[in-house]
Amino acid sequence: MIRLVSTLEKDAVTAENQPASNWLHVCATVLAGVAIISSAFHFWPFDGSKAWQMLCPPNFTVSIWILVLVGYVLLKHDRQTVTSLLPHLSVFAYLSVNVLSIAFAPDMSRAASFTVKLALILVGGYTLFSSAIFHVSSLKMFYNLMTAAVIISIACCLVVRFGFGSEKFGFHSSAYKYGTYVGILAPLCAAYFLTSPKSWKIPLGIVISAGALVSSGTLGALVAVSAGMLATMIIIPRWSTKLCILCSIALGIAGLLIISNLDPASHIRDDLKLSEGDEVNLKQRYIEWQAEINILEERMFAGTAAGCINDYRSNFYYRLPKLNTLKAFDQNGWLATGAETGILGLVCFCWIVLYYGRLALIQVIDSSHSESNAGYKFASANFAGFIAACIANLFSSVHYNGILIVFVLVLALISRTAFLGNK
Amino acid sequence: MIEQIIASYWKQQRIRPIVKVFEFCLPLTAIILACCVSFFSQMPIPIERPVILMLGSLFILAPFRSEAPATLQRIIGFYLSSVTVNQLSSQYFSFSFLGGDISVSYSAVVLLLCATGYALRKVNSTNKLRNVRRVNIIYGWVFAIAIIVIHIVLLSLILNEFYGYGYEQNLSVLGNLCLYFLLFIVLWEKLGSFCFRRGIGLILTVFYLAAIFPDR
Repeated sequence: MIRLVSTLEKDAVTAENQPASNWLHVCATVLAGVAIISSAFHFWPFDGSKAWQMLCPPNFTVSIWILVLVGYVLLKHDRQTVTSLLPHLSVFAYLSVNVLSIAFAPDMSRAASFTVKLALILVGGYTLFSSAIFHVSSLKMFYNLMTAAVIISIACCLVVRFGFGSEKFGFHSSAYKYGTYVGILAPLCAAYFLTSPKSWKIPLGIVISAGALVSSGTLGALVAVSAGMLATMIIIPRWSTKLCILCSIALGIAGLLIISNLDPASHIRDDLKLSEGDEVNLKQRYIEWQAEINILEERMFAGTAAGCINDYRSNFYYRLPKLNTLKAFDQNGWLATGAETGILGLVCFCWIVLYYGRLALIQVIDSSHSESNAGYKFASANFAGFIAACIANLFSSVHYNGILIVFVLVLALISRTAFLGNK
Repeated sequence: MIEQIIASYWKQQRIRPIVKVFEFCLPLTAIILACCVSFFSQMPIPIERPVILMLGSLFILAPFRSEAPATLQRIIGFYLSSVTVNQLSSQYFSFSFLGGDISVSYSAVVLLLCATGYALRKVNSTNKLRNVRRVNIIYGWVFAIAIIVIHIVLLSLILNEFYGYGYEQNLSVLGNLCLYFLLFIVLWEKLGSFCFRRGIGLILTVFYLAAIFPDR
């Protein structure tokens, strides 16, 4: 398996040995820092503005980065450096299917804007993070930045919900978007701190994972954080760390249970119900999933076109759900990808997940044999984030505008950790 | 004995070019058939902007040397071919057999032609080389199918009911999925050949060019 991945990586690694200019790294580091921290604020303060949603700070910084990169290529004629920063072929395959699926879109503008945002983050965001992570110290800085972002997000959610009694989840207006954002980042950062040898970092890891569980408003967030933490627990050999992870999960779930018992209108309690009479729950989620599957029956390859699932979904209900309040992307990212871009789009997305997943797993196996704690810390954190992203995608979607950047960040971290490890 | 071996060798040598022509032409014929049926049945799945698909088929015609663009060409070639087969999945032709009417989907006919070409190649092929990317993309398929099966099992456990895929809780979605998986198996290797890709690209370019004009 290692030989297989090393074959795949060989071309990239030989190209990556060419160092890029320092100013390019500095520029990438600044822009990546802005993108990560600003992702915690989501679409705040102009939630309703479509233009702002398109050019929110993370998307804007990535756009600026693309201009910088184009300028770099034109000035230095150094294509090799840029090529080495690009994501794996599977990403381009997925983007190609998305572009072709626009041919079936009834609303051209929606499909085109979705695909542009997807390409911007998947390629632009990935190259930005890849360029910014050029040394182990920059990798550490990335984990610290992500921790700052996730703490801002969790603290704001707790203050807004339980301090001011608001229905919002901090800067994220939707429980699903918040759940996906925190569901990916919290296990990643918590695993990073929990595997650290420094004793003061372990409580921070416990606080992050417990805080994420307490503030979660959906089943997806709850399962994603727990799965990420449990994955870390399985791969870590130290019993003290395993115990800490179990404590953090137990603490978080206990806190969540207390809060949901105190609050009769708790989101998480509704999401766990199996009856169809109320707004958001598993049963209703299933009916929505079924509609997406029904689309596959007729449009297995054509799909509904990228970003256009809402134009068709209601035509494919076996029966209409009562009090339907869920949007398409509040469902299941895997199914939504299949329904929108057809089964080949889903296969290409699975290819992305498999490629980077295998890389993450190999890092965990390799680093468990080495004596370096740093490598192990990064590998287990990346693996936890990756597992959490896959699980979060079952109950919501990593394709959300403003959330996709976190998924791409996890992919870039996995790839660059492998690259720095090879060096 | 030796004479017999030599005779059978020469016989094989004579047959091989004919088999090669067949294995090359059968999948192409299948795609041409799919294009014709979907064109004359006014496209059951409407293509709003055929120009995008035509540009995709023109991309397949480009002579790339390196492996990565060639893999992208294969993926796009497979996508465009499968989209054409998808147009046929709801169309059937009927015939009488032993006093009963039998309906067969046109997509099954396309698959049958491609599979015949694939079987002919496998019988004559001695090359067992397995491409890493091919293995990866097959894993992608297996992973996608595994996700769907896990989904069914999870739902059955959570809701205490078996919910198959499809309107009437039948397994038609899974059936379609198997059809396209088989199509992938038979077309993917063939799309590795530049000549075949060029043939597919040419057929699809003509088809989408025809689809651009509304008064057909």
